[in-house]
This record gives sequence, C-alpha cells and structure tokens, in this order.
Amino acid sequence: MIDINQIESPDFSKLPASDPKRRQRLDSAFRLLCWAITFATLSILVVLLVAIVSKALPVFQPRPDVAESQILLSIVQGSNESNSLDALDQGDFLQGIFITNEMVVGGLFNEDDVVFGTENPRIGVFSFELAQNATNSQRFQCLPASGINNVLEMIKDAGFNLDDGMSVQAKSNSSIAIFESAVAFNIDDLKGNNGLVTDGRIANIIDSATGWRCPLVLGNSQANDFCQLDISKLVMGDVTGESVALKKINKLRPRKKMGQLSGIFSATKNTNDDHTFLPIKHRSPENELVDGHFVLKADEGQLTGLLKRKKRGFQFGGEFNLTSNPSPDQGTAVDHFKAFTTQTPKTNPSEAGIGPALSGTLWVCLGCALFALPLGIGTAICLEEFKPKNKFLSKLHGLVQLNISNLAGVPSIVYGIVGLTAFGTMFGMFGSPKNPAFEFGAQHYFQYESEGERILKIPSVPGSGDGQENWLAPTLTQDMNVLLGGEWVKLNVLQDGQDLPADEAVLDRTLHYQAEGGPTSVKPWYYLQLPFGRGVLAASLTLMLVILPVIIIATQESLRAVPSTLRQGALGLGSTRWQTVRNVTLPAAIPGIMTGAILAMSRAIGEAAPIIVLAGIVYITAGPENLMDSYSVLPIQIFHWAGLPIDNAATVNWQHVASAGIVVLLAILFTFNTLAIVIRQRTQKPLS
Amino acid sequence: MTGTKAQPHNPLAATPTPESASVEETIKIRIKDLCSWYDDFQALHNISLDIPEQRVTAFIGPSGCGKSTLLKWINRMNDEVPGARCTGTLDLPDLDILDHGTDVVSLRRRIGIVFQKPNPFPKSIYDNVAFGPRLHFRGVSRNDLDELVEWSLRKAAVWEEVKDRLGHSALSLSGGQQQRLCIARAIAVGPEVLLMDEPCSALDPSSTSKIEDLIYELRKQYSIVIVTHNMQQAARCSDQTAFFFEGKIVEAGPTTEVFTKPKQQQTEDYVTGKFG
Repeated sequence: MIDINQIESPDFSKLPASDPKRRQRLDSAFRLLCWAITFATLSILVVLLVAIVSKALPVFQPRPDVAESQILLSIVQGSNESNSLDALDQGDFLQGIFITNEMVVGGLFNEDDVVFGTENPRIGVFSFELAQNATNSQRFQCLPASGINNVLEMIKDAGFNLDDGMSVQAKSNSSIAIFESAVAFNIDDLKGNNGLVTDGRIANIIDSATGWRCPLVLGNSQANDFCQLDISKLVMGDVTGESVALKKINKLRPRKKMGQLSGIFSATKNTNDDHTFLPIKHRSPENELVDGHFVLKADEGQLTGLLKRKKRGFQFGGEFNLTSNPSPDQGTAVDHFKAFTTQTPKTNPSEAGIGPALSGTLWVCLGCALFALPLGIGTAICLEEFKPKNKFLSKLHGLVQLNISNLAGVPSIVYGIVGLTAFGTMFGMFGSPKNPAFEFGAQHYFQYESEGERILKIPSVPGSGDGQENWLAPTLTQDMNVLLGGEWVKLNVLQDGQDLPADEAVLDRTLHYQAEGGPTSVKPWYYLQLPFGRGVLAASLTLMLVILPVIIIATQESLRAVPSTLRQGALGLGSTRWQTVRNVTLPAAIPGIMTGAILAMSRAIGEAAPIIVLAGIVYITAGPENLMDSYSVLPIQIFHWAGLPIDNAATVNWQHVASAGIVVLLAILFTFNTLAIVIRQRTQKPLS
Repeated sequence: MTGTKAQPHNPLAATPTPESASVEETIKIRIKDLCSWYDDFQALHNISLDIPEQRVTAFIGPSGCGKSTLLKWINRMNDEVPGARCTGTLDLPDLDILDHGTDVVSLRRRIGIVFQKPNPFPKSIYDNVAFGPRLHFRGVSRNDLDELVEWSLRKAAVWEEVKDRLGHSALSLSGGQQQRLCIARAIAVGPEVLLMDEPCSALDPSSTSKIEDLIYELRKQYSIVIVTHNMQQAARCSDQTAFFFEGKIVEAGPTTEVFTKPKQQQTEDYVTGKFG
C-alpha cells in the first residue's frame, strides 16, 4: 500500500496562469460570430423571399391592358338586314355563321365525344392563316368539293414545302401522337416529324424551315385517344362579308346521333386586318339546352341565344349575343390571386393560372397521405414495438432498419423510375396503360338520340380490338334495356316504312334500326385500371415511396421517446403487446407522429423529380376527375414556367408567373409546417 | 376499508405481529432450483425459496445481486428482456409460471407489479385505475367501474387526496401519490400477489412512510414481495427476508431472525451496514 501523503504535490503556482480576460474575449467573440452567422442566414432568407414575392407581384396587380366586359356582337333576328343569322344542320353538328361589318362569328355545336372528320369533310368554306405575324400572313380558303388536296395545293403554292417536314400533330392528354384524321384533310399527307406541339390541346402546322405556322388548331376530346378539331381559332367564312357557300354541303343526311349539346364558337374582329380571336368552346352538362336557350360559357366570354329545334336539327332564332367577360384585371389583388389559383395554364402569361396544378397537387397528396400514413406508422410500430427475440429475425430486423435509413437518402428521381415501372406500366404485365387488361368502375355506353329527341344510352358490347375499339356499338333489338334520363326502359325499334308511334312516351324510347350512336364512357372517381398508367394513383404511390422512410423514421423516433416505464406498467397490468401499443404507447407518441407525418407530406407536396418521370404534363386545362386521370402538380408547373423565355416588354412574363406559383407553393408549405408546430405545442404532454 | 391510517399500528415494530406468528403460513409461490441467464451472464444460481400467502417477503442485497431478476420472473416481466432465460421451477399452487404455455396476460392479472419509479399513464387518475379492469373484464358497467376505482383508491390510501379530481391528469400528483396510484392501479384487477420493485426508492421519507403503512395493511389480503435497498424498510414492513448476494440466496428466514440473529457472517455484515 502506498501512502498517498508521500506522493509529491505539483507546484501549481509555477504553472503559467491563463488569462481570464482573454478567455472571456474569446467567449464574446464566438458569441458575436454566432449572432453574425444567424443574422446572415436570416437576411439571405429574407432577401430570397423578397425577391420571389416582388417578382410575383405583377401577377397580382392590375395590369394596364384592362379590358372591360363588352358586347361584341348582338343580333336580333330581322332587325338588321345586313346581318345574317343562320344555322345549318350538318348532321352530326350544327353550324352557324354570323357576319357583320365588324365581326365574323362562326362555330359549331356538336355532340360530346363525337370525333369530327372521321368521315367526309363537312365544313363548307373555311379559311385559315399561315402567319408569322399580323402583317405577314396569307389567308387560304378551301372548298369541301376539292377537299384536302386543295388545301395542300394552296399551301404548296404559297411556298410551303409540305414534303419538307410539315406535319400536324396533336397532343392528347398523356402522349404525343400523330394526328391522323382531321376535318377536311387526310393528314397522312402531312405526316412528318417537325410538328411542334405548343399546347396540350393545340397543334400547329409548322414549316420547319421558316417557322411559319398555321394556327389551325386541333384539340383532343374527352376521351384520351381522340382528337377533335378545335376550331376556336379557325376563321370561318370570308372576312370581307361576302356570302359564304355554306349551303353547298347541306346535302348530307342528318343522322340521329345526338348527345349533349356542346358548342365551339369563335369570333373574329375584323379591324384593319388585325384579327383577334375570341374562342368560346365548352362542353359540360350545364350547357345543355334548356327551353331552347343556350349559354356557352368560356373563360373569355359567353355566347347566348335561342336555338329552336326543328324536325332536323336546330335553327337559331331570337337574340344572339356574344359577350366578352370582364377582364380579371379589373379586380383587386385578392381577385387576381383567386384568378391565379383557379385559372388554367394558358399560353399567355398574364392569363395563366395554377388551377389544374393545385387540384392535381391536392389529389396526388391526398392519395399519398392515404397510403403513406397507415403503411408508414404501421411499419414503424411493427419495427419498434414488436421487435423479434429470435436471433435470425432480429438480424433481419436490423437489416430492415438499416435499409429504411438508407432509403431516406435515395434521390427522389430514382423513385420516379421505380414508380413508373412498378405502378405506371406494372412491368408490362397487364398490357399497356392505353389498353388496360383490367378495368373497374368505367361504364361504356353508346348514346343515341331517339325519335322523341331524347338521349338514350345503351351499354356497349365488348369487342376484340384494342383500347376504344374494345367497345362496340350494340345491335339494336326490340325491347332491349336502354337508359333514358337515368332510368332503364325498353327500346322500341323502328323499321323502314314504319310510322312513328303516336304516343310520346314511346316516341322517347324509339330508335330507327339504322340509328348510329357515339361511344361515351362514365368514369367515377374510383375508376381503376391495371396498369395504373401515368395517372394520379401512380403518382400518389410513388410519392408514398419517397416519404415512407421519413414517416417511418419520425414515427420510430417518437415511439422511442415514450418512456419504457409506461410500457412496462401496461404490460405489468396484463396488457398484451398490441393493447400496450394501442392504449399507452401510441397515444403518447401521437404528437410526434403527427408532426413527422405533416413534415413528410410537405415534402411530398414540394417534390418534382419523381413526377417529372411519371407525368410531366404542364398544359392541362382541368384537374383530375378520377384516380387514373392525368394531372399536373405545382412544382412541375413552376419548373416549366421558370424555363420559358422572358419577354421583358410584357407586364407579366413567365418568370413572374413562376414566382407567383412559388409564392403559393411556399404558402402551402408554411401552412403545413405551422400546423405541425401548433399540433406539437398543443398536444405534447409530459409523459412521466 | 376506509382510512387505513386510522388503524393504529407501529410500523417501526421489528417484532413480527402476533397474527403472523400464530397463523400457519400457506405457501403461495414455490421457487425451486431457479437459474437465470441474461445471454451468457448467469444472474441467478439455484434459487429455492417459498413465498408465503398474506405475508410480506423482502428481498435485500447489494445492487446486481439478482433480486430484481427473481422478482421479474415471478410475473414473467423478463419475457420482455431480450436474451433472458431460466431453468428450474416457479409455481403458484395451481400454475407452473415458467411453463411455455402459461398465459402471461392472465398471469400478470394474478400477480401485479409496482415499479421503482412511479409510472402512471399520461391519462386521468380515473382512467389510470380503470385501465386494468377495462382490459380484463368485459362489459363492466359504468357504476361497477366507478365502485372499483373508488375501492382501489381507498385501498391504496389515496382516495381522500384525489376524490375531487379524478378527471385530472395523473401526472399532476406528487411522487408519493403517484406511487400509491400505481398501487391502486395494480390492485384494481384483483391480483393475488403484489410484486414491488423498490417502490420507495424515488420517494421522500414522508411518502415512503405512507407507502410502508400501506404495504403493512395490504398484506392482510395479498402476498407481497418487495425488493428494497433500505434495510430499515425491510425490517419494518416484512415478515420474511431473503438476503441475496451474487445471484445466490445467502440467507432466508423470518425478518427478525435475519436482522437480529443472522446465521451467516455475510448477512450480518450486510444488515449492519459493513458492506453493501
């Protein structure tokens, strides 16, 4: 044993003393540095915010080019002889043209879901422009008798070489496809690969060499695979006001093939060769004809009038008004904000909005939350509360745990590819998204107009073809079940030479045996197909993959934070493991889980990379309506806008719109994060 | 059973109470040749001990001597510890506790446990006590449950203090009250045996004294096993004492004998405070 008193003590007085002042100086210097860094960070944040918000401001401010609501055209039949008011029944659609000194209005009423131009050219004279700008444009006219070749000849005569890469393309909702049948021409002649699709619903004829293009626009109809001529920008008739050879084509046999009333109208102001277009096109149930009055509403204006039914088709009558809507520029910042959040992404930055993207974000994130939360929280509970005791299993547990932590760091674009193959195409196991092997919830009908001028829907017959051809028109047989205004009735088939039944109720459900219908399908919100395709559901599931690790880790952390004494207390009272989780652990951990889940959701909202792989649609005019519908989300929309060229002369250019989108996205994210903080503050109780 | 404090007794009396001396002891839990391991470490070596009914048995010994391990085997709380295993027998009169097929859920209803640190759930006082009954009894009427909660709280000598705030959070109670609440929670499911793992180690002297009074009263109805580091406490409130050292029972017997006439030198050293 060593006597500790014999150990010599060091001479502390000889050791050099540190300078307390110096230490304190260092201390305060470090504190100063910390404050400086904090301040710098904050100021960068503030500068960023200010930059974004100030860029976004023009979108929310009144613009100089304020236009008031004005009546563009008002015709009272018979009041002015220089005005013509006429409507022509073209069989499948109704065409009207109105010419005044100032204005040419022309358009079509058609049925929903009916494709124009799959058969004969039926439009009388139409002209279109090949224009680079207003002063350098050429107008062409086309007579139906000569058809497409005439058009092509004219285009060629004007110096455009069609063989030199002129094409028409149409973009349907989810893919680019060569548009093969348009109104008056056989687009096979135009096939090429230089078509520029500038809009999800608009295609142009473009000459690759000159860049000249024809604003003849093509749109897609409700059904994805169909393209429909959108004549919203098609000038009809001769602008000079001369009579139009419309009647020449009024020889086609009218067919009973009517559906909902929808209309496409365009108006052209005729002032000094400067043509502005006011397209009015709309198809929606609310446009159904009521008592002969129709209202076609569009973003830009509305067309009202009286439409008389005749034995064959319609006739316009009474007053006919074309009104432009008041420009949103009139409104306050709040109105602008509202308009911005509801409008569709237009081709003009000062009108563009994030409506569809917002609704798409909502759908996708809601779906994502529905899948990710139960799965993530369940997995975390399983990993944390039901740890296996078996040696092999606990090794496996450790492996899973490690991998979940790793997955949290995987770049999200990787998940995009995974989502595309696993959910979008499902490894090609169930056919293609366009031609799904399995469908649930969709009802396919053919719709007809009965002799009593009511709409009849008859379930389609499954065929053997692909996609839409899977569903064929039914054979009309006596007493088959048909849908009349939501009720099932027996069909009465009319043979040649047979007289129409006198009873109106019978007339309503009577069809000529040769009647032709158009395909239509009803897809409810839960419509499901395998594979999922590039729809909302695939995106939700992919975002679920992105945020699952985050949710699992956050949940595990908060479960771990519950003192083990509580678990033991519950177990000691004779709870089973699950009862312990259900009654004690989970309630105690809920605040943390909620916080983690909300933060994970806000990550999902801001995620763009996987969506770019999965969908990447930037021009879309409506939010999704079912789980398989195409969509756009905010980050994608912003990403697209931010990349468009800047027009410095414009009051509102794409950069401003992109910034406004960012402001909305940030507002949503801040709301979510604030919610997370509030929930944490409110619900977090001491646990022991 | 109202006002347990009202019944006079001397908790400091080291002599066994007359009743425990006269009434013949029936054995509640029989432990024979129990060995226990945590992975490769053997925590208990051939433990044999009988725990009598309606008596307080105290386990004393230095830290790490295995007394808590034994306690946790009695209601199989060790099942939750990874790597814990044991051999030997541990029986209730009608049940082999260590048998693989024994239902631990109903076992723990019969053998309740109170932990070192008060661990009320972050719920109301009422819900804390009603937690167990809700698990084990189906379709208990609200009235029955109210009565059961009141009885348990009275029995645990905490009713007077909490009767006006049953809806308040249990965490608003003081440490001593919380521990009595935990005892009330444990007896609310009608156990036969109460295990207490150093129930007073986190409490101040006055709370400790209340809990000890309570243990003294509860022994009339339950078999109690208490693990304690406090020699005085073992002397004050137990009938039988087992002294553990390094995973073995060095000496077990009536408390008075262990404390006044220990047979082993080691025991004497420990109870007199020479080591430990």
